[in-house]
Amino acid sequence: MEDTERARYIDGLRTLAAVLEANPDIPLPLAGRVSSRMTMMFLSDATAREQMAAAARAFPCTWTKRVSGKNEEFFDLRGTVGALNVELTALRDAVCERVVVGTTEVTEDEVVTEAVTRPVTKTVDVVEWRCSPLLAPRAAELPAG
Amino acid sequence: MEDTDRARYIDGLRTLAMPNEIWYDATLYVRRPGSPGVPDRRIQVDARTSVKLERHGAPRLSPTGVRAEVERHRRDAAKSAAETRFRELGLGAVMDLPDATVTIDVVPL
Repeated sequence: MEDTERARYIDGLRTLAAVLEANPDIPLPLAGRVSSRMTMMFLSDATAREQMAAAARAFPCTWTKRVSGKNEEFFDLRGTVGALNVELTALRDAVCERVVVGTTEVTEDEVVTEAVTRPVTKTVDVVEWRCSPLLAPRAAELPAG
Repeated sequence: MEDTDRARYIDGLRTLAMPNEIWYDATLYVRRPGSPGVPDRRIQVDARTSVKLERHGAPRLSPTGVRAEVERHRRDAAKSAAETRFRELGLGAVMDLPDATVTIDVVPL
């Protein structure tokens, strides 16, 4: 992302804040609230730890740590700025040290027979969506004649 | 979501967009007490400088009142930086005079 695009993104945040403040009837975006978060990713192996730490210091909030991903491959910091949920994410092996502290036994499902499939033909609806221009008046609202 | 949460969400957007550097204009006032019947007198007038703060080092805050707390913290940090700068400018002797009252006002540029 170039600096100019970054600047435009930041301008967009400010504009969004101003529009939301001036128009109380506009619902808040889903991004950054409820279960959604504004996520910033640090994917450089060499400097991810330092960059993530600097970002964490820059935000005026308290952070909670977690690991995420199917194989717990991500390390996350989660915080709240105002009512905006933010998250800093990096690959866990870039910011954490893997230490073997013991062994344990686990049970896994092993594929014995691969699933068998066959092609079948079905009749399904053919659909198109017709959306009239949102900002134009509805047909019933147009003047007669 | 309540209206207060809405306002805090909007605050959060603005915090996310904050510039990485903030400049403050700082003014130094030094006064010494007058004698009975004589008002306090200013002995150093309008020494001014500008200081720059980085966003790094913002305090850990509770989610409520973030903007006001951040601004208060930054003003305090700007005053501290300005005091250092004024001393570098040779005003330490004046600032440390006995009975002197030192005031530094900072205004975001």
